Amino acid sequence: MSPSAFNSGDFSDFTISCGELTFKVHKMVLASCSEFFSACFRFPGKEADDSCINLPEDDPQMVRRMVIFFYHLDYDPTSEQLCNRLSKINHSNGPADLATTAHPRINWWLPGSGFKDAVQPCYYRFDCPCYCPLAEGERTDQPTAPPVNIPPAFSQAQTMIRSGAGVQMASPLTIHASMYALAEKYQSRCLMLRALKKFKDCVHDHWNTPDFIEAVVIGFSSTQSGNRGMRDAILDAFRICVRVDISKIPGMEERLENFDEPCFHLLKSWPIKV
Amino acid sequence: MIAGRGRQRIRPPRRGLHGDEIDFESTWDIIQAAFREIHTKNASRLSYEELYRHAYRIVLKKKGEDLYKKVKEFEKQWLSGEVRSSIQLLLSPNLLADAQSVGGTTANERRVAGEKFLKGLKQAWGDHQVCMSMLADVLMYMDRVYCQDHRVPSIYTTAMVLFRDEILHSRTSAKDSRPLLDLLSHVILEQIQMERDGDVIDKHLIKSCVHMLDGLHADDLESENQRLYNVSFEQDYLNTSRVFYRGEAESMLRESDAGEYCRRARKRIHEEEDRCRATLLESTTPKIQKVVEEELIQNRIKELVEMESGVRFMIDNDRLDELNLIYDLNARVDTKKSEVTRAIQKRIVELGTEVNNDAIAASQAAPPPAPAADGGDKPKGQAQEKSLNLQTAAAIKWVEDVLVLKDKFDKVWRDSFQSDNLLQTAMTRSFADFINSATFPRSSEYISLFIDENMKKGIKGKTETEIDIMLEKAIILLRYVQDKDLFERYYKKHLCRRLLMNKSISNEVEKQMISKMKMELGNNFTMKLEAMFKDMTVSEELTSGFKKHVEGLGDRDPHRIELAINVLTSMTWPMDTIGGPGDNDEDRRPKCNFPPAVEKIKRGFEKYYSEKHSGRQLTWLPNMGTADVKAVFPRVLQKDGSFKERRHELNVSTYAMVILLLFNELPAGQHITFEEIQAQTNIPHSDLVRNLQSLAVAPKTRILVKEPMSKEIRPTDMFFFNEGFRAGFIRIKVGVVSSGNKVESDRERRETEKKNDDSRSHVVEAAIVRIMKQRKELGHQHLVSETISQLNGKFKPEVSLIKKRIEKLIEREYLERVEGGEISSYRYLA
Repeated sequence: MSPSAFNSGDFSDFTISCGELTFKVHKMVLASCSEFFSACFRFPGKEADDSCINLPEDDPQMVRRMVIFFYHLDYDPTSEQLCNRLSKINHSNGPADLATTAHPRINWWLPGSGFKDAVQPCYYRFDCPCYCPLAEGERTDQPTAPPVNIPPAFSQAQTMIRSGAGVQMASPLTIHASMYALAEKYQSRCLMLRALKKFKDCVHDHWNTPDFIEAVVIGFSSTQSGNRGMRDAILDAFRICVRVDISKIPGMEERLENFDEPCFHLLKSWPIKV
Repeated sequence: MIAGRGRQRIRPPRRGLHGDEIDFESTWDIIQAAFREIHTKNASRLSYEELYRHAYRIVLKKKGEDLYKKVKEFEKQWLSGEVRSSIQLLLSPNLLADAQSVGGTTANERRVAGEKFLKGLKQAWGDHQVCMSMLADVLMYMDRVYCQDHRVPSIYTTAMVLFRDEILHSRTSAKDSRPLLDLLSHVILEQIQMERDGDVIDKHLIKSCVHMLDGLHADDLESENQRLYNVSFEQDYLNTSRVFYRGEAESMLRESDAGEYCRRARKRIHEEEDRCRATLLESTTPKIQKVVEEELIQNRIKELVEMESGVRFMIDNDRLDELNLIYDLNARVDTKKSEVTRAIQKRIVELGTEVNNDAIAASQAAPPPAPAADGGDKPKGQAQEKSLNLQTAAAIKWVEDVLVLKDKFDKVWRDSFQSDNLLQTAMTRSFADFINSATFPRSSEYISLFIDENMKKGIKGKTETEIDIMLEKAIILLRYVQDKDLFERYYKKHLCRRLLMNKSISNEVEKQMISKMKMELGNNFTMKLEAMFKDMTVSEELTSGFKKHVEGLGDRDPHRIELAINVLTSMTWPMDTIGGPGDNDEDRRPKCNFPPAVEKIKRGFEKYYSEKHSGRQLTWLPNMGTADVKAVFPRVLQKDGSFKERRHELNVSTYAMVILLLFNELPAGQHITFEEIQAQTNIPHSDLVRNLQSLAVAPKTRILVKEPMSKEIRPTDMFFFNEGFRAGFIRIKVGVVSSGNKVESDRERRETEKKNDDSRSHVVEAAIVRIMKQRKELGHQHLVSETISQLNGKFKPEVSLIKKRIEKLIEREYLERVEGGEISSYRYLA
C-alpha cells in the first residue's frame, strides 16, 4: 500500500474519527486486518449507514498508529531503516513526545572494529526501535546524553549520529503495550504480533525507566489473563534485564497489575538473582 | 535509578477505561434493548461500535460469564415466546388433522397448508440465523476471549441449539404433544409423496428446511452422524419410500409388460436422484437408490426376466431398447447380471437346440442310409445319394442358421448389453454348449462341409471382402467346437478331395483359410494341412521334371502318354479316405493291372522317382486318378442319319480308362463280361461297379453298351463298345458316382469317430508320457488335470479314457504305481 493512498485518502469509503483526529480509510484494507472492522462493516447499523465510525474512548495517537499499521504493517516508533518509510506519511501532525535521554548505539560496522563477525548482544544493536519519524521542519530539542554502561570491550565504538529525520521516542514500551491491548480489542492478530515484537526489541534499552513500570501495568490490566503474549514478554524482561524470576515469587505476578515504582526498586534489589 | 525522572513530564498514552468501574446491569440493559431491536429488524440506528464497546468492557471486567448467561436467557425467552407462538399460528386444523388421519381433506388443501407451515418455519429459521450472526458480531470479543478461554460453545452455536430445543422440540400445540419436528418430517414426506404422484411442489422451500435439519444436531456433541436430518428425517424417508416402491413394483408387474416396467423403474431411479439433488441432500442419493433398486429391481428382477413379455419375448421380437433397459437395471443391483445372463443363456441354448433339431430332422426326412455304403446293393444307391445330398444341404443350412443366431445375439450384445465382457463369456459358453451338445455330434463335420461347399461353389464371383467374411464366419464357429481333432480329421478329408480333384475355386482362398486357422488354433493344428499343400506343389514340380526327363530320353513317341502325378505323403493325407493302405484295411487292395502302355510309363516314373528320392516306396492309387482318353468312334449310321467318324476326348477316371483300353484290343461287335473285366483288370469290385455304371448306364456317357440293359450291374452282364455313341461336345466328362464331399452316413460316422477315438488314445498317451517324463512322479489327480489342460486346445478327453491309458502305460512299463503313498500316484520309468 503506497503512502499516497493513505495520505490522500483517494477512493476511501469509510471514515474513522477519534478525538481531534479523523482518518479516511478503505474498508477493504481494514477488514483484511481487523475482525472488528470486518464485523462492523457487515453489521447493518449506524456505522454502515453513515460510512463512519467514532472511537470515543481510545487515545487518538494510538488509533493513528493503528491505522498507519493497517496500511504499512508498521507504526512509529520504529527502527531507523523503517523510519524512512514511515516519514513519508502525513501522520496528522501527531506530536512526538521526545525522549529525555538518548541511549547509546554502537556503530559496529566501523572498519577495523572487528565486530562484524562477532555475535552481537541484542541490546547493543544500532537500530533500536524507539525512533520516531519527524515531520519536516519541526524543531526538536533532543538532549544528547553521554554513552553510559558501555562495557570496556566496546569503548572504541562510536555513538551513532542521528539524522535529522527523526527523534527518539520518550516512552516506546508504554506505546507498544497499549498497542497490544488495542489490537486485541479490535481483534487484529497481525497488529498484536507486531506490537509484541516491537516491545521485545526495545525493552532492553528502556527497562530501567518509568516507561517500563507503566508498560507493566498496561500489559497486565488491559487483557484477560488467558492472553499470555505481553505477559510473557514482560516476565522475560524481568528475568533477563532485572534478573529476577517473577514466577518464583509467590503472588508476584498477580501484583503486577498494580505495579509501581517502589515495587520496581524492590524487585531490582531482590536478593535471589537468576 | 530511573533515568530522567523528575526532569520533564512525558505523556504516556491514555490508559482508556481500565480504571473505571462499570455497572453491569445498566450496561446489559443497553445491550438487551439493542438485541430486541435486532430481533424486530430495527437495527439500522444501532451503533456497532457502542454495542461492541459495552460488551468488550463487560468481558474485560471479567463479567464474561454473566454476559453469556444473560444472552442465552434472552434468546431462550425470545424463541419460546415470540417465535414459537408465531409458528403455532401457522398450524391450520387441516395440517394437524391429517397428521393423524389423511381423511377429510383434499390433497391440494393439505399441500397448501403444508407449504404455509414450511414457509413459516423457514422464515423463522432464516431470521434466527441472521439475527444471531449480528449478535455474534456484537459479542465477538466475548466469543473470542471468554468462550475460548473457558471452552464454552460460541454464542451462535448455543443459539442454534436453542432453536432446536425451543422450537423443533416443542409441542405442536397445547393439546398435541408430538414435537414440531415430527410434524415437519411428516409434512416433507407428504409433499414428496405428492410429487411422486405427479403434483408440483416447492422444492426450494423443502430444501431450505432440509438444510436447517442438516445444520442441527440431535445431541450436543455435534457428531457427524447425529445431524437432525439423518436422525429424525432420513430414516423415515427411506422407510416410507420402501413401502411406496414395494407397492408400486407390485402394481407395475400386474399392470404393465416388462419393457414398460423397465422404463418406469428407470424413470423412478432418475427421479429419486434428481430429488436428492433438488429437494433433499445429495448424501441421501446412494441410500435411496439402494432402497429403490432393492424394491424395484433386486426383489423383482427374476419375476421380471421371466415374465411373458420378459427377456425371451424381447429377444424374439428384437426389442433391443428394452433389453438394454433390463440389462441396465440388472447391472445396477448385480455386477454379474446373473438373471439376464441366465435368461439369455437359456434362450441361446433353446434356439440352438432348435437349429440342431431342424438339421437332424432335415437329414432324417430322407430314408435312412443303407447299412453298407460300399456294399453291393445298387437299387438303394440312388436313394442313398439323394439322402446324402439332402444331408449336405442340411449341414450347410445348419451352419448358416447358427451364424444367423450368432449375428442376432452379437447385435443384442453390442446394442443392448454395452459389449459387456461377462455376458460375452456367458453367451460364448452357451453357443459352445449347444454346438457341442451330446445329442448333436455332427458340428465338426458340418462346419468342414460348409467350408468345403464354399470353396467349391460358394465363393464364385464374390469379392475379397465377402470371401473374408465367409472365412471369418467359419472360424467363429470353429472357435466354439470342442473336439478340434475331429474337425481336423474332417477338414483333412474334405481338403484332400478338393485338392486331388481340383475342385477348389481358388488356391489362394484355401491358403487364407489355413492361415486363419493357424492364427486361431495354432501351428500344430495346421501343420499337416500345410504339408498337404506342400505335397501338391512338389508334385507339380515332379510332373514337369518327369516330362522333361521323358523328352530327353530320345525320339518322340507319338503315342506317348503324358503323366501328371501327385505324390502324397502317407502320414499327412487321410489314406482311408483316398483308399490307400489304411490302418484297418486288413485286405490290402489288390494291385490294379494297368494296360502295358500305362504300365510302362508307370515304371518309368517309379525309376525316375527312386533316383531322386531313394528309399521311398510309391503306392499307386488309381481310384483317385483321372485320365484323358482320345476316342475314335467309327463311321456307323446314326439315328439322325449322319454317317461319319467322330472324335471325342473323354475325361474319365483311371479305372474307366483301364476298362476302356480293354475294348481297344477287342474286335468290333465282341463283348466282355463283368467277370472277365474284373479278372483282367483286378479293379476292386465296388470301384468296378461304379465305373461301369457311369460308362454303361448313365444316359449321357454311354460309351459302352450293356446287356441286358438295366441299372444294376451283375457279374454276368456283357459289355459292348458303343460304336453309335454320339454327344454334342468334343470333350466329355464321365463322372464317377459318389466322389464329392458329402455328409457321412451314420455308419461312416461311427467309423470316423472310432478312428478319432483311436488316435485320441495315442494323443492322450503321448501327453501322459510327456508330463511324466518331466515330473518323474505325480499324483493321480494332478496327472489327470494336467493331461486335460495340455489337450485343451484339441479336445476334451474323458477322465475314463485317461485312466484307461494310464493302465495301458503301466502294463507296457512306461509308468509304475508308487506304493504306500497316501494318494495314489505314479512314477515314470525311463
